[in-house]
Amino acid sequence: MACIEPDGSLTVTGRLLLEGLVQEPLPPEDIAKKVNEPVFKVRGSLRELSQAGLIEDADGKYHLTDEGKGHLTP
Amino acid sequence: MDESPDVTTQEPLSLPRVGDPAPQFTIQTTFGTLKLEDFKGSWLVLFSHPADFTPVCTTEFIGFAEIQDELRELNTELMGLSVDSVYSHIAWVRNIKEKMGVEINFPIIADLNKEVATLYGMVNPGESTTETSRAVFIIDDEQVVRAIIYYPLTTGRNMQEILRVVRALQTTDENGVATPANWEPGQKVIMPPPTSAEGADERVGQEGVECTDWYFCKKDL
Repeated sequence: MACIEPDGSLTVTGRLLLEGLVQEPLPPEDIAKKVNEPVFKVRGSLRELSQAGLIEDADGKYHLTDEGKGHLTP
Repeated sequence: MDESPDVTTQEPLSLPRVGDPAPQFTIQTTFGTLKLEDFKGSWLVLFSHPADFTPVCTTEFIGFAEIQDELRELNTELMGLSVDSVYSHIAWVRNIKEKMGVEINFPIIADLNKEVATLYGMVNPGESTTETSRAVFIIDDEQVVRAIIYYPLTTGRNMQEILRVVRALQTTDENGVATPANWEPGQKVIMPPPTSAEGADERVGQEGVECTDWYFCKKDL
């Protein structure tokens, strides 16, 4: 699902996924369980967040980038 | 006179066969951009329909939505496709919810350029050159095409048959058996025929196996 609005702000889904990665890096399967969504949908969203530079994949686990953390700061 | 048949060499139409790796794609859907590989680890029922806002397709979408929970229990996802825009899909899905009270919770591919339709041979030019037929590709968790079903434009699909095929294929994978005509879960399954004379003798006397003849044996799971 769309994670980033055309103006660059996060959608509800985008925020939810980023918040799910605050504690620790996770693989898509674990993120899917955490947000109660099918894995295929999460993989699509993670790709969008990665392309925007908000998360990074290291050995199959996704973690927040500094830019991603910045989006969660009030 | 040369009586050899007149064989014309043609470029084969792109159409995956049962047992082939499912052709990969990246495409816009109502769930954003998706890749086929996003579904790896799950089974997938990839189906095409002729057009949005048409009556038979609407009954089918309601039918697919009705079996979605049962498919999910079988680790199986759904994804539709037609030669319509994502905006048309969104409007149609909203219309189905508003008029019929049914929520469509699976992605629909917006295949305006017929990229995926061509890759999977979903357009049957003898029937229509502009619409996709009612094709169903059942793709397993390793992204191998396991079953292909085609229905014409005028005939809505049988959702219970699609469910039955998924269950039959998974039963085959889990137990190394085949399933007889009209098989439903809970019924006896077919044992693969023995491939040696010794095996045939052993099979007939085997406990828990119901043999009509050495090649025709059934058992409960």
